[in-house]
Amino acid sequence: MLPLYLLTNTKGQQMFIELKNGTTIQGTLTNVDNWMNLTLSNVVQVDNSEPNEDGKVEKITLEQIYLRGTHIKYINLQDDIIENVRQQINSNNNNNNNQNKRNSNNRRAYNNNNNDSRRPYNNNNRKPYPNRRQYNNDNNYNNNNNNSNSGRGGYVQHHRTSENIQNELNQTFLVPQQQQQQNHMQQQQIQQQSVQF
Amino acid sequence: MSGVEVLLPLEIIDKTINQNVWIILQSNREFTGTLIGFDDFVNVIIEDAVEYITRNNDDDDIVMKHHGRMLLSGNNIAMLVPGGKR
Amino acid sequence: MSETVIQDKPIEQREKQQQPKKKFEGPKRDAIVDLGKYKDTEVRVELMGGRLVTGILKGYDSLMNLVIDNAIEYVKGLDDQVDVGKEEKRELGLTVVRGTVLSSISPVDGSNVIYISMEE
Repeated sequence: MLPLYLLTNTKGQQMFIELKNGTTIQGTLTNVDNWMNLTLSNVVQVDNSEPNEDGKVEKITLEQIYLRGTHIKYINLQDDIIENVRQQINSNNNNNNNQNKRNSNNRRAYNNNNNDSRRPYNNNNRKPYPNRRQYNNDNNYNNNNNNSNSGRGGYVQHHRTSENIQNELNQTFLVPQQQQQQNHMQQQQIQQQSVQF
Repeated sequence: MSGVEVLLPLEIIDKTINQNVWIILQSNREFTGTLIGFDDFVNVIIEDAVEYITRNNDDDDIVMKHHGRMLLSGNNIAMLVPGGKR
Repeated sequence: MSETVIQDKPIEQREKQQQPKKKFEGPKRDAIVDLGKYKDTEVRVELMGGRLVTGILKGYDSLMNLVIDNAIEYVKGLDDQVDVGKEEKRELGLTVVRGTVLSSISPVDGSNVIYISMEE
């Protein structure tokens, strides 16, 4: 479970954030971006949690706030959040499967248009950060632009086996969005479930 | 709706070229001088800069008067105020 | 021939539109806040390093550099200073705030300062 993914799927939830300068912020998450910049609504901000002479703590209530991701120290989420998001992923996974069954012909045709004969793993495209900055080596496989000279740094494909990638998919609980073969997909889903439960 | 146009920050800085500018860093340090130029990172060149350290209660202490031009890294710049120090 | 293509597409699109109700989404790359809705209103901007500035938002760019008119800086507890406790403010006027040092921005409208007594 990638942190940004978890966060993106907790929109609408209450959370508690501490900033690097010690300020704490409580509010309802409305949006997240790639850099963990956040927008919150119904915010209570506490700059200094030390009570003053009267034993009172100054709090600021704001309707909305935008926070820089780089200034966040940590975020406290609700306890059951991981379980909820996991269930969400599963239900989405099932949706995807159904859709793939319906459209399998189209999908396959589409995939064949890609010049992926050299790159058999492209169809395991799990797209956590589609076509964007690459966060780790795994994701290099998801680059659909398929331009090896894109200057993003080299891929090292030949170290990969399909088994490796299968394992990585399972470990990260991420859902591949395109499948070349239905069989492949079903098998994979079984494996994912066995890990998740 | 008031005013469709949006003032672009870098445009404002561009308009203060050859005028006095007050540059406030993230720390308690400030500079004033004549803005000669700047780049996209808002690295700044100022002329005849005066450098201040601000304190909460006292008046500002002048630390140093610089002659000639100075390249100020944009890294630590928090704010730029056209027109110089008030 | 072409008819089938024309018919097929809308059906597929409809399916796609229905599906993402509970879509599992990833984080966004584009701006998550529209500063346009704060334009010409009073905003409260906190900067890294501890500065707090309020004023009327007159302009902005995609890097979140801001143009703030009638800016007032509240000097309190800069990181490398002892917090005097007593807030001082100074007027800066028309100010450009660097987007790189922006820590948070929020509209002043609808905000309140409240005091809660702590009983522990």
